[in-house]
Amino acid sequence: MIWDWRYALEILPDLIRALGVTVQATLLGMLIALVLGLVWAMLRRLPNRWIAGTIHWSVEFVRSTPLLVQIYFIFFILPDRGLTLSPFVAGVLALGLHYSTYTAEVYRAGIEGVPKGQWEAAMALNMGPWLTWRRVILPQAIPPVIPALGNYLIAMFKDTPMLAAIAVMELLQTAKLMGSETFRYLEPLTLVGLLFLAVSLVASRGVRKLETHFAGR
Amino acid sequence: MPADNPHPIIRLRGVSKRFGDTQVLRSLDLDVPAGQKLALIGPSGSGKSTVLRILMTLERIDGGEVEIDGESVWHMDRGGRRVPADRTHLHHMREQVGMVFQHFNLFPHMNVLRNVTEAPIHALGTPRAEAERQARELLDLVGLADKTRAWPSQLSGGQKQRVAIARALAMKPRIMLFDEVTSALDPELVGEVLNVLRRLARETDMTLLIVTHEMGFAREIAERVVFMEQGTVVEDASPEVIFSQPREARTREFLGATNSKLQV
Repeated sequence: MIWDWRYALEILPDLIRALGVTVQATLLGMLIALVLGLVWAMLRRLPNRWIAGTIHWSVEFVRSTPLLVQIYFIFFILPDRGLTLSPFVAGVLALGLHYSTYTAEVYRAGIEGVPKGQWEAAMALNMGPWLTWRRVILPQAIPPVIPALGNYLIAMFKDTPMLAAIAVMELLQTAKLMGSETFRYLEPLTLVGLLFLAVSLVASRGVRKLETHFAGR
Repeated sequence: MPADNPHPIIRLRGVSKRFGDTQVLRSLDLDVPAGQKLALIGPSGSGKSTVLRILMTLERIDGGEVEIDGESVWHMDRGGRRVPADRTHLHHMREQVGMVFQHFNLFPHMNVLRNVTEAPIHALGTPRAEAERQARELLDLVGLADKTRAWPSQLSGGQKQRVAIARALAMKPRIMLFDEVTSALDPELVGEVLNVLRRLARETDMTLLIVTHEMGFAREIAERVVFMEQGTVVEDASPEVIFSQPREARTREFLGATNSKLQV
């Protein structure tokens, strides 16, 4: 099979549009992962051992099962419980939920890095738990772990092709359809690879910048 | 505070505390009248810091009773029944107490002014302008009026500790706890912090509990000195008695060892 430049150029605009869907899914998924992960990390520190333990094992469970299974679960099984979601929404939820178990670990490391004396000072100043979290602990716990969170953003971006399994029209799914129409897979799939490479390279550079930024503090 | 106040501002009765296998406090009794300047001395591990941490509710007790101004810290009354203190009750108890730590524990992500105004604004609801005015007064009191915009990382240990004192004072506590506040400082910075404590002892009617290894300082500003060892009070007397003619052999031994260490 010989590379066909004309065909490649012809499909490129549609692939770039599909890249938009991929990026959207990544950003929305990451937003969910960032918020949920923080919720898990904070709940795990509750003095109530029952809640903390339940959260711990639930997070462990989600992290230890494949993302693809979770995507299928949310898309095919939740409708039986009366919750029907579009492929895009189901996919984004699955990505966000799955990656929240990783971001939870990252946050945990950041939170544990805050000295115990900070909690004690906040208590001695009669700041309640919410105030302590919001104004004392999190502003110190999060900045050092932003680069690690950025790495998960890139990892999630590279996991979005799994959404093709439930027919989200992201990059891989779009390329697959193009291939099945023309029986030429070489150009679409190569371009998919190159587009992923380009975005990942830019994002990695960004993360490295963040690393040097926060290392210098 | 009326002179015939029937109860001391701090009362510990049979307080015990254990960390794992170590009994830190053994049925400790201690009463502190309002306004008293009290120094707690003793070897490390004697439980003196634990007393402060219990009063600040940083540690729970295993037995006994702690009262602040006649109110139980760890229990409350609900419909005539004695129940464990809830969050609101502990919040109310902490309003009366402030604490300064050995390692300062300033908030490193806030400048000096915000370190002092943070809790008044967000925990007490003081308007920002008022909180900042008070903070400037307090920073002036501790000799740091020109450092309001500095970051903790730019300050010396002595300056950090003085900010920490201002921060605790901003909550207007009736009781101030000082937990070895000069132990982490370079020797040349100890004086500036002790000067602030001296001023507080002379010019305020707050109750001060000072855990210290600075015996000369304890002798100078304390009205009463409590010598603790192995979780109990060994001797409780005026500084003159403790430092000149201690009744207990253990007190003599401890002070003798401290003195000879200082002479080395």
